[in-house]
Amino acid sequence: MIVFTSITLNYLPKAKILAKSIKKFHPDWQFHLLISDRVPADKTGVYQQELTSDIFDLVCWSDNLPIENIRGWFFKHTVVELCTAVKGIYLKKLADEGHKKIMYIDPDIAVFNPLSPLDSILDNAGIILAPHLLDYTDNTQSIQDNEIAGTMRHGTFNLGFLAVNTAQPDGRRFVDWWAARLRDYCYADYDRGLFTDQKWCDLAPSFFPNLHILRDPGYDVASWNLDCREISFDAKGQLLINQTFPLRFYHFTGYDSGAGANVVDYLTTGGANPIARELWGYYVRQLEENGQARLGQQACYFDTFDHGVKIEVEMRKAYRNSEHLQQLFSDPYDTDDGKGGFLAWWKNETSRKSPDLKTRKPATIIESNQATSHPQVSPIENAQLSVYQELLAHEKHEQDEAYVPLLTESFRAEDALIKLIAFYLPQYHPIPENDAWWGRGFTEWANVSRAVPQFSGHYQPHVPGELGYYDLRVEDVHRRQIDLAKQYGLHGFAYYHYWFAGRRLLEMPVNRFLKNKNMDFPFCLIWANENWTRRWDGMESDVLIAQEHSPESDDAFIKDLEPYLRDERYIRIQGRPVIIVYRTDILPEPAATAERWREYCVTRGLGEPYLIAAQTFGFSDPRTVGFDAAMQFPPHNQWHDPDFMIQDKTQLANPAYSSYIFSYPKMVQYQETHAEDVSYPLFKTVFPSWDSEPRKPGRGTIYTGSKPELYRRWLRAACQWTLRNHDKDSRFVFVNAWNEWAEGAHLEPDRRFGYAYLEATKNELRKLSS
Amino acid sequence: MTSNKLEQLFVRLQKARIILLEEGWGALWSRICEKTTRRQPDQREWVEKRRSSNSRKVPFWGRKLKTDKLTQRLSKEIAGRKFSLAISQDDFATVVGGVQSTISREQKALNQHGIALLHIFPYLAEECLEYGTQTPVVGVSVDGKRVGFADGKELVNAVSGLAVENLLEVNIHHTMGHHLGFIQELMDRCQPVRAVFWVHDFFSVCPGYLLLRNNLQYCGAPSGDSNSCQICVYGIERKKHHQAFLEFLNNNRLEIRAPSQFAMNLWSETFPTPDLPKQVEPHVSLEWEADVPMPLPADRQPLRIAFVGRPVFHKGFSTWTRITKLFHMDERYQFFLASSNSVKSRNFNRLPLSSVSQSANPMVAALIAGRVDVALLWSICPETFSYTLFESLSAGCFILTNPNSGNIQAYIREHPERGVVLEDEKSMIRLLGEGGLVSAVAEYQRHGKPRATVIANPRTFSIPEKRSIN
Repeated sequence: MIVFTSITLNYLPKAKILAKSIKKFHPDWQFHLLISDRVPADKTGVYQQELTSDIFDLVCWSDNLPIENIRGWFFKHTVVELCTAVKGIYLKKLADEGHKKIMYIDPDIAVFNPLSPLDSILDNAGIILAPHLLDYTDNTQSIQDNEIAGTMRHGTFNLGFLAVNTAQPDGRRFVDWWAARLRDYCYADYDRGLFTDQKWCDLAPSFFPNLHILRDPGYDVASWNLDCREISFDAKGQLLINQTFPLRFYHFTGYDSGAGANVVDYLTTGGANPIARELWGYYVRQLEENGQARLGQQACYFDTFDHGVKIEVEMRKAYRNSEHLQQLFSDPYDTDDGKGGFLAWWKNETSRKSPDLKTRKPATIIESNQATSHPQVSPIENAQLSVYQELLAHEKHEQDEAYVPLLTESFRAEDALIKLIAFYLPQYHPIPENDAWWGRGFTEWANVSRAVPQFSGHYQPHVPGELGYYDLRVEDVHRRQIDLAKQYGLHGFAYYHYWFAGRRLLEMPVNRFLKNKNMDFPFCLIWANENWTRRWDGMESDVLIAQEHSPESDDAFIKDLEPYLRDERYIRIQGRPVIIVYRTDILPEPAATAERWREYCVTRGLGEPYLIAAQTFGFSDPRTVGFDAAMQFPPHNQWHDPDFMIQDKTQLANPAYSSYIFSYPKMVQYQETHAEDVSYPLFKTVFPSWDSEPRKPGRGTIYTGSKPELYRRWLRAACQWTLRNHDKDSRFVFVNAWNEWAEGAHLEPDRRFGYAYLEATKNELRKLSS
Repeated sequence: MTSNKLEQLFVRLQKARIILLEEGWGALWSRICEKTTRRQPDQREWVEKRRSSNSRKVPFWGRKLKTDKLTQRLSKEIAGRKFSLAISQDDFATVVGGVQSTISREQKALNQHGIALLHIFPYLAEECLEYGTQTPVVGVSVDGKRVGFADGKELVNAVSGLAVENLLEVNIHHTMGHHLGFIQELMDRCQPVRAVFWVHDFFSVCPGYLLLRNNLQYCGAPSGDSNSCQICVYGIERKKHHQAFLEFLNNNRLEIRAPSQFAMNLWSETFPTPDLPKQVEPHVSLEWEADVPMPLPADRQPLRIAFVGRPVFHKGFSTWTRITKLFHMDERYQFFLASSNSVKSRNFNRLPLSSVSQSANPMVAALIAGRVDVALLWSICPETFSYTLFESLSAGCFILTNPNSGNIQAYIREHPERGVVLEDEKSMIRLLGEGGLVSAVAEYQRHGKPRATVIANPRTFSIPEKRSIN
């Protein structure tokens, strides 16, 4: 086997690392070094020693390659283009010399385990190519960077690696074809669909059937595929990819530009793929040991005219696009001491055509084959740019593709097999207490409207649709909410009930509802029985109103509730009025409380209450507190599930963001496949989306990626479970929530999705009922 | 300053602001102190460190003793008694730590039987083995009393000039900062009847004695040719280091002694020396008070969880920081730091060790006084013993640990009712989030908190001694 790499002299330390790492496992393989550069006169001693090292079996200077008018040909290429273009020519030269198995590897690669499997593959295959990506993710940043800006722009295969066997079918044909294309078209010319040697190989699988696509993820691990390749160690200390495949070689792309380190930083944020960072550290140390400080800054001889002036890309383009110039200046590097040649022509021409051109900076081109969307900016800036672009896009077209307008069709809750109840938050009108605590005029909208996206793809702020930033002092709003809920098949509302040892807050909407019997919609109450604190400010211990739980307060509470329980619209299960308690875990004697309430209600002729304990703060079994049933309260008791966490893979636009980001699709997938097997009555709850960013700026817990269809799938799973596990008179499913806007949880229409979540609700209820 | 650096600075400032907002000034200051003291060494730093230690052989203020003077002083201090020779990495009389306290107990036990303890330690407590031809400067003490400094060769002469027939045994507790050639010469000249090589940590296995690859992750001490050692900052040094120990072990008739079976097994995998006698000698053991459980307080909620021990990275303090950040608002839990080192945070409180310092074991007393239910012993490196484990169990704590914590996890796997070995940090988040810990602890404490007394085990010399250290 002959292995070769192609460098300019500043890449010599990298080539040394590569050669040593190959020789470690394959001392019998020949390693050739192809150099497109010239040794500076004052450093011949240094390079003499370096290049005669045992690790290099042969050093070839590319200006000795069989290329017609080689000086002019070199000039047409930037340094990166040149180093890639000569790969094909040298490959052909080796093939012409009769070598069969030949491998090219980029200099910024290090080998960690034997490459023998490649040798075996070449016993049958003519060509081996390694794709940039072997798998995909749905991460927006990954799609943008690795699929769109990376692979689709720069080529499916990474030509940092290539192996051929000219003795096998297609091997030799490929070498001749590729060498010919690189001789004439090895440029980073995106407008023409060219990217050096790589884009050509997109055609190779069609042209050469005996081509082997390397699907072993242990090869060519690099920043562009790291999000799909987990690096680990086995018990013997061997590096593995995806727990199974030995790491054969790692591509340390982007060392000189700093982009590689940035990408690794990004990909390892939050502790993800920590070994990638260790590998990077190892490579940096190796470079230092191999003379990076001494040798790594050497300017390429072919990057300047013969008197030292740098050659700009525009000059190269002008030369390669004009046969006339090529004939006129067969050696364009020659400037006749700066007075003549191509350079003099260029100066004269540009000053004549456009005075500006002389001082104009050449267009920036991407001088590497790595995949980044904006190589000049950091991942954070990239994310900020994406967020801003998304905001601009939404300013113009603020409707999501899943947007659904208000439709006239309705579905009656009476026809549904499942009774759907949505939590209802009344904090949309000013009250004196909120004025005092948060500022005059405070309502939930103060939080809702201030939210900003924390990362690309983050849906914030949620802007209300038809109902606007409503004020619940306006009765029409409340009536419209009921009309909408009824139209879309909801059975009722569960109003949050704020009761603190006799003192009530936010009671106006539900009291008005109680009074107006013509507001015809079932309802029940959820006692939000925790202290009111400044939690949103992170000041948990600053209690605004405290709860006082005692036998006396139990009696007072149920007495206060009596008018509601007597209302004919009050929701009953098995004929018993439903009372939901948000936190039974903080009731000092919950069983005794339940007993007092039961006794009171029975005595007063209300019927024995049906007590439901919400599954919050780790609480699960209602029997331990003397309640009849439990009700899920997602994301409570689920949001810590690390399997849904994706903040490690999310590029934040706000570097100060410090909470948790979960995947709504993953969570829905879990809910669909996970059926609770509990021995107590349980009511399922779903949420259309969840995002507490408005209440906790920069600290919100976010379930991202919600779509109406995903919500519908979760609702379907919850309803089907309920049909299986509940009798006809207790088939209730809850939705969190009708209008928790500051937690991103609302069925109410917004500007982005319109009535899509309501429509999904209606359609699912109808489908189940049919 | 480049824009890249500016951006990094900006991100750091943002992080600092978040710590300030979430955990307060104390936490920020603690974090800054930790950053400055816990730097990740790279290969260059490692080499530089070695060089610096070699260039500072002689204490500039002190005078090295010559053989005659040294022999004279040693003879005076030993005063004709039989003596034992201990070798370790620093002066146990002035440094606090596990190895140091073991030697201290050794000294007391010996002295009770009229035997002197001659202790040799390197002048510079460097975290590496010395090589080269230059003999290192060592310090010497008798019964914990400093005798002076001398070149290694002078010391060898002086010790061999003593009545070597009075030398009972040599205990090689630690070789960090020593030159193995020097110890070999000492062994050759003294010809001790018995020599014990201690596995207090894994320094003989790797210069990165915590067995954390790149000071980050437990490596399991694989072969020196493995990928793991290849990319590790200790990898290059390890080959030479390992070879030196292999030769030393082959050249001497040593007894291997480890404080736990786990440590012995792991060490033996690296040094397969079946012909050497091996013995496991735990430093302490527990005497359970089966009939007298610690009464439970009436108010059992919230669960009181403590990080016990030094708040440093390799003890799992980063995990602790993340866990407490995530759950500090959860009313089911309260978090405490039980350590003599102070780290401040809004997310947990420090248990006052100082107020109970009069106790024989301040840590046990603090855990009992703090009514701690759960001890988080999240070492990410393999503990060869872990006093903290025994202190926590003694105080009735349920143990949370991970598979890499060495003897801690080995103990819990043997006694699964006393704790749980969690796969990783995610598993712990799940356990706390789903509330499984509450029921596990309730089960452990169903008859009150199990209580035990920590008993210091008798030392090497078969001297009958049994005493409580708490």
